Amino acid sequence: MIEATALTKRFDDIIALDHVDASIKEGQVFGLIGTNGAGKSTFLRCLAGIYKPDEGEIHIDGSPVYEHTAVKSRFFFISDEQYFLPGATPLDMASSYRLYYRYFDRERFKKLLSEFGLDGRRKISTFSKGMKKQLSVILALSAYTDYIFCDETFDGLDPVMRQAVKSLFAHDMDERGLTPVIASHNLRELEDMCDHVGLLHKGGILLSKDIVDLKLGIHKIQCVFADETEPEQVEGLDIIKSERRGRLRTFIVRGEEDAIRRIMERENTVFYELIPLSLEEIFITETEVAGYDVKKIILGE
Amino acid sequence: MLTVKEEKNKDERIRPDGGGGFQASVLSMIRENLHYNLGTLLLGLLVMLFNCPILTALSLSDIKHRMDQVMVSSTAISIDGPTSVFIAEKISSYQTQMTSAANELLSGRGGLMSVIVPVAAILCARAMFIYLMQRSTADFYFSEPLSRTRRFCANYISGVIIMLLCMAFGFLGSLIVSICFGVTGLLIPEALMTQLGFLLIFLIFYSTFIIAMLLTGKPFAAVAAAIVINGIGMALYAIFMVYLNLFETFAYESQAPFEKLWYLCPLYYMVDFLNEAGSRAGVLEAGSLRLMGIMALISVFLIAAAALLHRIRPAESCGRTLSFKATSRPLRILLAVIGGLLISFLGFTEAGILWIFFFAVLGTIIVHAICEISFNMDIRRLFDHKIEKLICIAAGLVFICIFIFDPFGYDSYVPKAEDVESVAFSYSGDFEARYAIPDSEYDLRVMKEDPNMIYTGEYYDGKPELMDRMAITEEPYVSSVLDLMREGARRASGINDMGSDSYDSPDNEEDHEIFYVNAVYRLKNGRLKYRNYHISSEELSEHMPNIFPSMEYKTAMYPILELSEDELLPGLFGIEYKDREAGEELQRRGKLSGKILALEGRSNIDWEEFGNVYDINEDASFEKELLAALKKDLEEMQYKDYHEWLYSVDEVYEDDGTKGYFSDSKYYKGEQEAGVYLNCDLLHFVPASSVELSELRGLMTETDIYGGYREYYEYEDIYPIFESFTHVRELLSEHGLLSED
Repeated sequence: MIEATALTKRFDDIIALDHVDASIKEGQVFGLIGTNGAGKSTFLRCLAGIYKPDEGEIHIDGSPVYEHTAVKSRFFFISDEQYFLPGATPLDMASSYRLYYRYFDRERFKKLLSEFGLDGRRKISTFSKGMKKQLSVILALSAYTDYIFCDETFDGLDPVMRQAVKSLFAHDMDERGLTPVIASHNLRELEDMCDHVGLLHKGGILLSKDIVDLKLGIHKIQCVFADETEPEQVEGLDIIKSERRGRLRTFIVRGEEDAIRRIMERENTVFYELIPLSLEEIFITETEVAGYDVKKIILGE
Repeated sequence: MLTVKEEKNKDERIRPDGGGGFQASVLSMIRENLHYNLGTLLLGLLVMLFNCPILTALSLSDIKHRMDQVMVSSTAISIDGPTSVFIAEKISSYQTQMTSAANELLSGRGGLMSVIVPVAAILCARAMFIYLMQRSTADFYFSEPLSRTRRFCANYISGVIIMLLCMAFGFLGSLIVSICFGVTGLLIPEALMTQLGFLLIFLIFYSTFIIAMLLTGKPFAAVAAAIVINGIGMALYAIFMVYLNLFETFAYESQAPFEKLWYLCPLYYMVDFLNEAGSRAGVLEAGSLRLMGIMALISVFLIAAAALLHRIRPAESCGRTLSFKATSRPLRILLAVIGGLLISFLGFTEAGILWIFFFAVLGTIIVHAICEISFNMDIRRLFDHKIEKLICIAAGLVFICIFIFDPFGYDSYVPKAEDVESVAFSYSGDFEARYAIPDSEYDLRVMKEDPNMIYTGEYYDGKPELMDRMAITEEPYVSSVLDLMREGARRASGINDMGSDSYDSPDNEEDHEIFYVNAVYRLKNGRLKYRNYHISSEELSEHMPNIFPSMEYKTAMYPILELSEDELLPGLFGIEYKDREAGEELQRRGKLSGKILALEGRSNIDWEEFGNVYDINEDASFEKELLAALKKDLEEMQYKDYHEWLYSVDEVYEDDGTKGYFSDSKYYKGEQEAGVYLNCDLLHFVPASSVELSELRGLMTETDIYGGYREYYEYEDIYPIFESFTHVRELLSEHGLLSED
């Protein structure tokens, strides 16, 4: 289990992480989403023991990460800026990682290489961006660590490869309790992959929930009131955001579906319907609430 | 969709201990480093191939070719007699040259090691620690399950191994080539010790460049940091030397403590080591070993500092100018003040001191602004930290004012008599006759036993200087010397009070002649104080009569006074007549044997070198008597006798290019070398030790093989024959050698 407590990291005057509390359970896929500059990469680098937190702590199974070799051998970090040794081939990289990861499985590495169609003796410098990402994932999976931290790893992978990686992650999770922590902008990809998401915004964590709870706890309602009732006037609704187009009202509310339906049944509506929100919509809504209005950025409103 | 079939049993995958406690061995990491830096290693080996075996082969084949030519000639024309001896000596000389060249290259002193070592240090530091400069590599290396210290050790050692492999390759290559050429007398232990010295120099440079990389996060900043680290000592030394010279009484010897600033400069260790290793004593001598010990300690310190910095350096430093934010302000202030003071040198013109201040202020602002821009990588930050800028400017100006206005009384300093252990002084208008002393540091026996030393001409003159020899401790002479120096201090502080003229020469005083007087005060607290005063001829005439009777002063001035005749004789005596015709007349009359002296068949001395000098062709008992008389006259000599016979000559060139000279404030046409002369007949004396030294030195040059004249110029003493020198004059008169005769 990974636990971050009041994790703070500053770069000169910029506060990249501001007292972030997070908890990542073993055996689930943790998705780290957030706006640009929210601190996702910084969080992962703190998690990987690359950055030393200025304040707060980050523990993996109760042990601090920074300069703690035993803890660091339990995870594999795939950086958004991948690095491979100069002039190295995939097999060279495997040999290198074998020095540092005791359980690195060379056989599995070769097998995965072959299944992904990568040449183990070809220089990595001649690989495409996507191939390098595939190689990183293969190396990570072959290292047999308990955790894999992926920073934008799925960006640049084609859909087939993405699916393959997902199934590999699923397999390892099932087989040996692997815990992937994935930071990404690609919310659609995370949506069908993550069990839990943490939403970072401006260095702070806005929410951290199981994706099912997250989806169940937020709903979009489209309705037409028979009278001049405003959504804000409806008692018992925790409205986050509302829009009006003619008589059609669209508003996003927090709460359980049954409770919301009971409330809406009481109201004098011509019709209403509850539409489930995608992770992307939840992300936009939550960040808007926190002051990160996409429309304002796009339309300059 | 891609499907993955896992063949292994689930249980095999489960790791009971989670992989904790496992770290890659340093050895395997080093092997990996070498594998991925094979290019650097191959480049090093290629350079060493040219620098060592190939260069050795070239040097030796060149000498061997010349030696073969001599051998072929000697075989062809079958020479006997002295020429055959010469050929044998010549071949022996070539063999010695081959040994010497092989030893030079084997040790690394020959060739380009002094260039290769720093360049190799830069390349190795770059190869092994470049990951500090890039985010992707920092992510890669710092996320590894490996402690930073272990990573540092592995990478540091890898760089050292690359250098060691290159050095070993070069050494063995040179050794094999030397053996193939049949060179004998190779000094393997010395060569290995010198190579060790180079390795220590490499470690100092290597660690320094790594520290520069650790302190910064960009390659250009690392280069700048390396320049600063290497240059800071030199810059501080230059600043102190330039500004200390603003003190009127600053003496050259006072810079000795500031020379220690050179030790801040890694480059200095290499220069110092090359000097020590190349000296007569060689690298196994105590001085060299001590220096190597110091270099080893510094290497250890630098390695420890680099390891610590590597451990605490934030990974996010990649891409920044400075790794540690806390260093930003002190570094900015240090660089701005030092840079400002260096730029202030531009203001040292005749135009006045205001320019010094102007350039100091301008320089400080410029350097501070450059620091701001480069530290923040933002030109808009040009004028940030205005108060800090003002503080830097103020610090620089205060520093300059201390030297220009002398608020602490450096120039007016003359110690109290009760604080002085001893005092020594010399002045520019004095006539020097002080060579007849045994060479304490130079051992003739060593030179005789070491033919290689004679061949290479490696010797040094260890005669103590006048200021080291002189120690006036007795009263009232100490007080008299201090009184004389107070005159100089008064003049110096008076000039300083004028401020703007403080660095002009006081020679401009037209009413009287000014002499430069060097003084060294050895204080009772063990400290040494050096001053260089400007004292007028009048002041000198007033005080010197009180000092001149001091036997401590005279013994220092004329060392023969305390040397026995056994130490000085048999020497060579010559006489120089002020009246050239008088000498020629005495020679005609047979009183003098001529200008050239036959020195018991060994070789000849040409007194002609010294002008109108004649050899005194008398027996050994006369030499003893003459020496005793000279000593007696020197002991009784008074300042007025001495002073009135002294005159100086200043060379001048007229507008039309013809030469002339000033003497006694009068202008003469003609040519005379500048210097201080005695306006009387002179006694030339080459003491026994100098004769022998000259003989040995003569063996070093080929001209002596053909028979040439010794040059005793460096070894002779010249003594006046004043009117007051009654004992000498009486003796010379008895032998008909006085010019009046």
